Amino acid sequence: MWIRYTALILIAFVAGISIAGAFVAFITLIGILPALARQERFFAYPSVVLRMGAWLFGRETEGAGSMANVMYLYESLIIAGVFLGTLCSLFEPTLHLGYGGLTVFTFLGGMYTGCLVGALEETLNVYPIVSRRTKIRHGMGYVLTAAAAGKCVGSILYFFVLKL
Amino acid sequence: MADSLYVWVKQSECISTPAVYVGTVARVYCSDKGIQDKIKSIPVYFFSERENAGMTFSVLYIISLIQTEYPDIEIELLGETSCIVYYNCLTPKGRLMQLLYFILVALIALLGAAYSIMAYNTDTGMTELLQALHKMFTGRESGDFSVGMVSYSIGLLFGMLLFFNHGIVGRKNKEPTPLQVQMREYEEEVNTAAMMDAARKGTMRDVD
Repeated sequence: MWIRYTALILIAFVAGISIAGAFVAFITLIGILPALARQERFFAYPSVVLRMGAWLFGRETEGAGSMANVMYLYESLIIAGVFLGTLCSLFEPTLHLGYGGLTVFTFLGGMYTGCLVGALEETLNVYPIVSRRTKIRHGMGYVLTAAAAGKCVGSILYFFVLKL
Repeated sequence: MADSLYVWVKQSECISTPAVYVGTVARVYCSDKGIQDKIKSIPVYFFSERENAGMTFSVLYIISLIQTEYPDIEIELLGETSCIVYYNCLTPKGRLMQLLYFILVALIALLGAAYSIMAYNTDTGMTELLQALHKMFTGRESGDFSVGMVSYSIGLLFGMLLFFNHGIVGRKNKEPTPLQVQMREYEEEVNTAAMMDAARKGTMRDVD
């Protein structure tokens, strides 16, 4: 019997590794986190954060290295998130975090999905092409806002009207 | 005989003091150390606003500044054709906002990754698949718990550590991780775009 279990464990383990590879490749290619981190364009992270990064990973804290520390921290958080998420989705534990926990989690999950969609559009050059084709040079910001609002409306329709 | 002056213009620079000198936007080398230090301290710009700002300087502007001080020096140009300087105004409020923003991004990274892998597992029916694999391998029904789920989760963890080149599994060397590489690429693209923008809008500091 043990050999069968070993085979099962091995194949599931390898499946996990390959899916992790795909996940990392996707996240890296789409580039959500650089875009998010870049929003604070000036790279001056609070020293607490830098010290946290340096303390966790013993890397350099000076100059450009500080940004590297922060990215390292974000990567660690993604890894932790994926691990916890997969545990939660497979074993379905009851966490007793109430509506507050649910709201925070789904809100941040929604933000992540929104960023994913935005980053995907950016990677596929959707908006530059739309701008060229429609000859809209100015006010692409409004088009973007409209697209975001459309996604919100579409999501509400999906859940409350179509009830799929 | 005038010395040769070598000017390596940086692509971008981030400062926390409002004054911009030639030494901020470029690396300067001259065989005469006195001239080198004097040229480095030629003022270029002063950020007067009390908030984060950015300014692009054309290399021609830098040259014109140097030549007004040293008319007959021979300038050898290296590096970029313009430099963007980000001024980070460190007000207490700004620091607080940045800390809050960091916490938000950190939470998005943690919980968003959890959310997306849950969505993936649900979408692909991972629970059913692992239960089916359990039955296939051992001939028994697994119920809600299967060892395959445990090893799949651990495999996922190790795989992420491996591909992100983190601690425990990956070599703990100084090689940048995928996201760090991506960050640098992204930074470069943003700098280039900001420079082109400044050149088109005419907000770039140029000779004319």
